[in-house]
Amino acid sequence: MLIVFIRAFVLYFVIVAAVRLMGKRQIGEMQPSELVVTILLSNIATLPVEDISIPMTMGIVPVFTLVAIDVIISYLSLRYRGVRRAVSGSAKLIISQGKIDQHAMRELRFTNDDLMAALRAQQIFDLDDVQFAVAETTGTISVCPKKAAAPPTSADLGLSPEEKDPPVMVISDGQVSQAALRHLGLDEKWLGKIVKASGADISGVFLMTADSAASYTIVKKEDMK
Amino acid sequence: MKRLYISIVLLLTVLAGGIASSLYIESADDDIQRLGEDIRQAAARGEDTSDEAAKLCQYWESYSRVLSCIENSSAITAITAEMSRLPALAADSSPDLVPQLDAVLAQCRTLSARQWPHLYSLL
Repeated sequence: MLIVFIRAFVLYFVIVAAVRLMGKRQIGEMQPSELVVTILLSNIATLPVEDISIPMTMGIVPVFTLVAIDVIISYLSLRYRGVRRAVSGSAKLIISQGKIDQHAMRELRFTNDDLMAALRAQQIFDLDDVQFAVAETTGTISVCPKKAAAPPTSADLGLSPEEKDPPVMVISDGQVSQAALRHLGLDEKWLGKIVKASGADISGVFLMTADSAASYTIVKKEDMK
Repeated sequence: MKRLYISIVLLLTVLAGGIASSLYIESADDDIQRLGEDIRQAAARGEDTSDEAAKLCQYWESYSRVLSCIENSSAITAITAEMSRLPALAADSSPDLVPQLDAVLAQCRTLSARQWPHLYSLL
């Protein structure tokens, strides 16, 4: 029992390190090769945890081997288009100029129900509203609606709103983010002054966001007693 | 880029570790075969083989501890069980000693051989 506990503990960190090494994309949408590695990882990791007759190296070695291969293949995919196409396939147009490409859909084994569900997920309920749609290599469908069905943009309305970055989190639960201050080109002196003016100190701030020296929001900590 | 370098280093480390462990097992197997040969020769001369058998068992004991980090313990346990019969057979100067020894040495040889990538070890 103790051995299983220690093995599970160690393998937890091994898998976390492996997934971190694979990168952020692993957590979101996955390419086919990444999906394969993720499925294999979850199976390989459980074997030495459950069966103590298997040495833990038999779990750690394949985990790192698979992840290392995956990272190297990702790098090669980035450099060479041929590798990218071989490993991940290529995006396929399934609706072009408002017309469904039935041949492409058959090739992708994509049913009408799948297509309608993918369109509804993008808030499109009428097939006539679609200009083109692409089946991405990750299995998702990207849809471009017809101009007449698309919501108007600022440019369509002849507006020219000011372009600015969204607010960033400067203080989280009393902790100052130096990276956020650097991003805004501000310093702790400015922060201290602003927080003091709001009637609190930094440790008493629950959340503070800012997009410039003049535009900020401060949420003070509530008394939980 | 950092991830790529870490991955290459990891892959090379795993490869080097794999080769090192295979070489270690092969070298330990050579020692076991040599100790086994000593027992066989002593038995052929009609001498007492207790010391040689004890030496072989002792060597296996220390080797199996390291081996358990590399190999599935069920394979090691099977050899340990066969090996543990040798001292008693040697003490009795039993005619079963040499066949038993041959069986143990063959198991050790198989264990060592399957560390290297042959078609049968890969499959």
